[in-house]
Formats: sequence, C-alpha cells, structure tokens
Amino acid sequence: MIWLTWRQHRLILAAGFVLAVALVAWMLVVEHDYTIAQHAIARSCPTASLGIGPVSDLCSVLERHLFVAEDQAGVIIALPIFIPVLAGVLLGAPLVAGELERHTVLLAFTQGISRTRWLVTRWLTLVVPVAVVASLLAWVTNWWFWHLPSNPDMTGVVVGSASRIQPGTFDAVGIVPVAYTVFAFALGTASGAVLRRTFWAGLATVAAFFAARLSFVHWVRPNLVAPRFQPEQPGGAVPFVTGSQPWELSTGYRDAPGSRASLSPASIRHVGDLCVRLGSNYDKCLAAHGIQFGTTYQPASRFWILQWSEAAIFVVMAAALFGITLWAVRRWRA
Amino acid sequence: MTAALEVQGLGRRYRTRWGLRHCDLSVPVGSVTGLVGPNGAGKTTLLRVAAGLARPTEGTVTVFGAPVHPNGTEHLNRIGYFDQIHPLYRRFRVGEMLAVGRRLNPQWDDEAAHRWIDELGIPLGARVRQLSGGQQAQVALAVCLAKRADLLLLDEPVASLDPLARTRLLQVLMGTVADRGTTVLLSSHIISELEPVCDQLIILSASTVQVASPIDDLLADHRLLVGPAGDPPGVDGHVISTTRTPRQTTVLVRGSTVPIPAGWEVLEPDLEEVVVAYLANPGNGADPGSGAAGPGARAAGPGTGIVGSGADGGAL
Repeated sequence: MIWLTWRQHRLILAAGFVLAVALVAWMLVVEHDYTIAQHAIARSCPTASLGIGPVSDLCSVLERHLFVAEDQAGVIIALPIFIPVLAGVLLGAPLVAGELERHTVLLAFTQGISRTRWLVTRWLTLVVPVAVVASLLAWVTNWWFWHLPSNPDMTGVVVGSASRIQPGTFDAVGIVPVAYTVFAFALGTASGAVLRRTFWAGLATVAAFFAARLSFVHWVRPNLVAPRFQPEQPGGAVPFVTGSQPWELSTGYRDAPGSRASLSPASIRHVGDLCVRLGSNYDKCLAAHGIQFGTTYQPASRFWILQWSEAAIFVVMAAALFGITLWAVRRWRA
Repeated sequence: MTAALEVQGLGRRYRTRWGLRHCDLSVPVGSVTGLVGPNGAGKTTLLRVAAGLARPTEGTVTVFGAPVHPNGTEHLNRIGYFDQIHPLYRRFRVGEMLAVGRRLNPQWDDEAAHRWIDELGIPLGARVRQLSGGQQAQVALAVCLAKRADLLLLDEPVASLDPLARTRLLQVLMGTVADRGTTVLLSSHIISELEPVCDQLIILSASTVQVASPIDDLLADHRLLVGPAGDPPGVDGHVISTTRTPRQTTVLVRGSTVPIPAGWEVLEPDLEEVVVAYLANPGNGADPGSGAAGPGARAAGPGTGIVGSGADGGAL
C-alpha cells in the first residue's frame, strides 16, 4: 500500500521537492547577494551619504544591488503562505476525491485491504514527506531570516530578530509553517472525501484554509497568552522593553490598575476624549478618572510559546479533519 | 451447506425509484450462475451489494454465512469483484497493475496472473491507457481472478472481449471452478455464451427476480406450444408468453402442457427463447422455486438449492 501511494503520487511529490530545493537555492543566492552588497556599502560608502548629496557610481550600483536583494527577500518571505495551500490542493484534495472521480475506488475497495487501512496508509505516507519538506523549508527560512544582516533603513522587509513575533514574519518562521502544511493537507483530504470532487475540494480547501488562518491571527493568537499593556508615559513615549519589537495589538484607553470604578469601554473612551481636550492637564485628568492610555501588545519573548500553542492547535485540527476523512471513506457507497 | 451468497428481501431505492425490490436468492457454493436482465434491472446493484460497495435499503445479504461488511478483510479476501467499467490506474504499466494486486491481496497467484497476461499477448511494459478497451478489460480480469477469491462477482466480464478472448476467459473460469470450487456469479447480455458455462440462471427484470433455478430444470420445465394463428389454447401450466404472427401462434408454458389441442406441436425451447420470453413479459413472472438442489445433488430436499421469488409468486 505504501508502494502504491508513492507510485500514484510520485510526480507531485517530485515536483514539490524540486520546488522546495529551488526555493532554498533562491534564498541562499539572495542572502549571499545581500550580505556582499551590505558589507561593500559599509566599507566604501559612508552611511551618511546614502541618499544624500552626490553619490559615486560605485555606491549607486551597490545600492541597486541591495534594493534588488531586498525586493527578492520581500517576495521570499511572503511565499510560505502559499506552500501549505499547494499541499492541500495538489496532494490533499485528490487523495480521496481523485479515486472517487475516476471510479478506481471500485477497484481499491474490493482488494484484500480494509478501507481504514487504505486511508491511514495513504494519508500517513504522504503527510510524512510533506511535513519533512515543510520542516526543512521552515528551518532554512529561519536560518535565512536570522542571517540577513539588519538594515535599519529597510522598510518593506522585516529581518533579523527585530520583529519575528509580528504576523507577517511569525507565520513564516519557527514551527508553525509545518503545522499549517499538515493542516492544509488534512483540510484537502477531508474536503475531497466529503465533496467527492477534486475541483470543488480544492476551492473549499483554499477558502477554508485562509479563513482559518486569518481568523486565527485576528482573534485567537493575540489571546493565547494574556497580552500585556504598556501605558504611555507623560510626554507620549511608550517605553517597551528594549530589544526586539513587540507585536502591537491595539492602542487605547483602559482602566488603570487599582482604579475603583469599572467603566464600560465606551465610557472610558468618552472620558479619554474629554481629557484630551483639556490640553496641558491631560495627565492629571487621566489620573483623576483612573484610566490610562497605552498599547496592548505581545512581547517578543513570547515568540516560542505562541509558536508551540498555535502549532499544537493546528495539528489537533488536522487530526480532527483526518477523522472526518476516515468517516467519509468508510461511509461511502456506490 | 452454506450458500456462497444469500440474499433475503433485498431492496435498493434510488430517491423515489426502487432499483431492486423483494429479492430473495441463494447461490450455491461451487456453482456458476448467470445473471441476466435488461439494462437497469439491478444486476449491477446486486453484484455491488454483494461486494460491499453498495448498501441495500432493506433486506439482508450474507456471503458464506457472514453478513457483508465493507471494511472487513475476511469478506474482502473471499470475494473478487469485476466492474462493468473495469477501472484501472491508467498511468500505471500492466506489470505495475499486477504488482498492485500482489501487494494488496494475501492469496495472490502472481504466476498465474503473469501467465494469463502473457498468453493474451499484452506487454507488461505498456501503460494501461495505451491498451485497447478489450485489453484493459482483460488486465482488470486478470487482477480480479488472480486474487484467488472464493466468490467471483463479475459484472459483464465478456462485454468488451472479442469472441476468442471470451472463449478463453470462460475456459479460465471453468478451470478455476473445477480446481478450487470457486463460486461464480456473472452477469451478461449474451445468453448463448452463458449456456455452456453456467449451471444456474437468475433472471432479473422489473426490479425483481423472475427466475432463479438450475438451467437444466428451467429447460425441462418449459415447453413451446406452436400452432395455427388465432387464440392460444388453455393449458394447465403457467403461460409465460404468447407470440402471435399472421401465420402461427407460439406460447411458452411452464409446467404442464396438457391438454394438447389438435393441430398444436409441443417443442423444447432453447435457453435464449425462455429468457427472452421472461424479459418481454415481466408481469407473468416469477418462478416460486422448484426447491431443486445445486449441481451434483439433485435429489436433495428444499432449501439447499437456488430459490427465487418475485413480487407476485406465480402459481403453478
């Protein structure tokens, strides 16, 4: 059965592997270009002259190299969003639906192997290499990410350890990409088994995957661990712990700790607006009403606990989807 | 002796329409049973229900005494199923299709499978999608037969085959039955080919079992009365069909044909005439069962042989 699964899916698996290798190669090339350009600029072109005053030809060429590398890095960091979807649509959706559409289930379900064993073997035989390739890609992405030298002038791409907890980066590094890929694969197989058509299963997988991910980032991840609140200091500064940038969730007014009254959020906002109008007595006004203005955030130190929690949740969802796939397969009748 | 396949009160409904209704059958172990009927009569449904691929709406099905369990490897190991559309993995080579059978079936006879494919002249390295329809059917049959199942459920196995291939297949089937006591249930439209290989016949028509009996008994029970044009005579037996032409009238009767009216002849029908008569007149149907035993035990009592009944058990 393992042989049969490999043999049926060898093209897709090979193509996936080649694409993964190509992506890794691209990452290495970009890292290489970027590092060389960065060091050359630091050596030959004083930082102050970047963008200011007459620039030598060498410096503008080096700058162009740097920008090209930055652009490519921006694209690369966005790709991990799509890798799980590919696994779900190209490997997961046809796993059961393809056999149903081509009626080969009439052959497969009348051999000397139970449907349970048929599905379990197929599912595991494919999810393992998919997870392995996803892990390798995540590992290389992590390495690549931490190796790109920080450039404070770069605005579009977040590199270094500065902002890894922020959503754009968080999703591409650490261990969650592996969990997403397994989840997307399970979503594909479940859609295929229930909808019985590869095409619609693929669409459903894409829609459900992005719905799940977006709602998770928006509603669940911020609250996996209770977020912290950093009040604004008099003068308007918000002094986060120095070091890595945190993930800022929202800014606004809230009850100061130790205040007696507990107002509704609307009332708090109303009071805050009133205090703003008082101008120079703003801080005293806030203190008098027992509210403060600040930022709700997740500190960067929580990166790994959020990663593990989110990965665990997605893996559990994948297991539940596998259960649905198994149920649908056992229930199928001609 | 347990029947290879026993069906009681089987019914299968598709939304509003009943595909099969009130079917009772018993296929004896070691018999070769032909299943005939018009398209849409329920032959495929019956075979798929026996294979565990379809679920009946009502009634029970047992194979070798055990209820059909679609996930049970004991059941799956005992049956071999060949479907009308004989699906195969089209990108696979013929040798790889045989490897699929070998890996998924514990009792696989690899040597026999390769020998059959070799005798048919099908190259092992050819991809399935490059083969002709008939060759694909033969590969699918080889995969089914090499499984060495105890009950073969074959849905129109000879439909895509040329006459020589048909003969070969039927010979292979007879060999398997003789060697291993395999029970075969095969459906076909070509009655003349069923006759030499089958010892039992089931006629499915109008969603019920019209006839289920050994072929010898069937032929022995029926007579053709041929006479001049006009109204057919009254006889003691059960009239199955009446055919009128300007020149003569032909009546197929089950059971007694006395009294024989003057100017009428009594002839023995061939199997095709009997089957066509039943298919053309489904209402006149059902044979309530002769209680006759399977091959080799003709004198045995009721309950051991093939039993059929329909919606309206015709009185003899």
